Amino acid sequence: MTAFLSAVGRASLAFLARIGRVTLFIFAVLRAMVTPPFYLRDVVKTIWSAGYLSLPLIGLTTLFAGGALALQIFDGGARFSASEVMPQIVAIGMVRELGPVLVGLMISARVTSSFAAEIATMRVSEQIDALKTLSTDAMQYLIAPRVLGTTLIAPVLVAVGDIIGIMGGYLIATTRLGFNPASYLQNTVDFLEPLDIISSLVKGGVFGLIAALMGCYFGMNAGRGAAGVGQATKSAVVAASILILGANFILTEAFFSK
Amino acid sequence: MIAAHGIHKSFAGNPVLKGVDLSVEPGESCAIIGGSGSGKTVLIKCLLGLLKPDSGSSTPLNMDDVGVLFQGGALFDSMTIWENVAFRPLQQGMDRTAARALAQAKLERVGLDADVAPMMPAELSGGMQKRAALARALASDPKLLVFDEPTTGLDPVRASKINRLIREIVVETGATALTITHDMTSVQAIADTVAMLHQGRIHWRGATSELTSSKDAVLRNFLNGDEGEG
Repeated sequence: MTAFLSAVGRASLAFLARIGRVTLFIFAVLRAMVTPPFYLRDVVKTIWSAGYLSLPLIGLTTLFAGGALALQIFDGGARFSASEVMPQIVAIGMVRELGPVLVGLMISARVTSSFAAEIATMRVSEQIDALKTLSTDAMQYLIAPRVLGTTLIAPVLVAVGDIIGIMGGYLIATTRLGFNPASYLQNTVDFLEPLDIISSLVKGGVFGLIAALMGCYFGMNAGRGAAGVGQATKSAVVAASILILGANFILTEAFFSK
Repeated sequence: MIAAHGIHKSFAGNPVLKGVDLSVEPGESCAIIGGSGSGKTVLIKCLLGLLKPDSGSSTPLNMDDVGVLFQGGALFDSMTIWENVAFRPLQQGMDRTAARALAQAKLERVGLDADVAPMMPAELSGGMQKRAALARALASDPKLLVFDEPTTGLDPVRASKINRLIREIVVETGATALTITHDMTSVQAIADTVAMLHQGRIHWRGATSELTSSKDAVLRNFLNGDEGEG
């Protein structure tokens, strides 16, 4: 019993210590973002690599999700004669939930993993130490541009994901389920409210921030060797995915709880 | 120029440095020797401010005056060789054309051709990467040069060339040099003085010429290859 309690205590302390380290890291990133020099070229580079180059992945993911959602709602709605409201439900489902969450998870898969692996490799090959000896602050040079760039571009990716997801539903509805194209689009536009779109974009920003922070944090704290890089990458993606889903619940509660 | 007093450093409760005192005079080329795991790299990282000692103090270094050659080179693999070499000048706002010219001059100094400049680090051999990293360390004409295992991973011919190059540069620039190594050929080629790290402290300190005549048992064991993992 004592051994069990001791193990629980150790795990709890380690968990709290990790939270403390992540919090300090976040403060250090925020400070680096507002302290010159600013590496704007690297912010643009991040927007390009994390944003523009993610578009095919985001497009395919949300297109399939929107199509599948349309099929499910049409079939499920038929059980209580509600198939006609499928366009509205696809729109609200994509914009409020599926769009931001899928984009968040895709960013976590593509961007978090890439940040973690890249920075961890730099850590284990002493490139981070080299930066310091070359009078360059790694937080300002490596971390701040990545976090800022991803946070700025994620809402744009979510907006694109929302639109393509709705298009996925539209394509299925109009080609397979007999919906009128014009009325489908009209229903979608009429039904969505500004708060739906605002919540979607805010979620995108928060998820982008989480994804970038986790990638950078685990990369900077990687262990030694190839195993350290692998572990850092895995931990970063797992932590980012869980935090994104947790943050999604909290934000949904904050925006729509009555 | 470099003075360390009572440096202690532990990792997860395991003491690595147990009160290191070391001073290196300006213009001196000092080699820190010791077995694998004896804490040589930890000591240097504490002196450079890359690790925070648990206790003790050392002369604060102005990083603008320091050039470091890391064990694996630590070239930034997302940049070309010339961008690596001119990294600090570029960060300090030097015009790219001037920075490239400076990088090519430094690359030439370490025996690399101009056609290496636009290449990526992964395209170079280990020896060439070491030279490029040395050029980067020299880029801002530092007053202190630190070499961490400069010949590790190189064949004897290339190692000998790097040793000669380092010695030439140290003499030519008049910089203070600190070299970590367990390669006695490097010590003989590069250093004026030697400090032996053993069991977390400086165990022996003297001129390189005194190494072979020393009667110190621990030093003799190390030189004869009798010491286990330190």
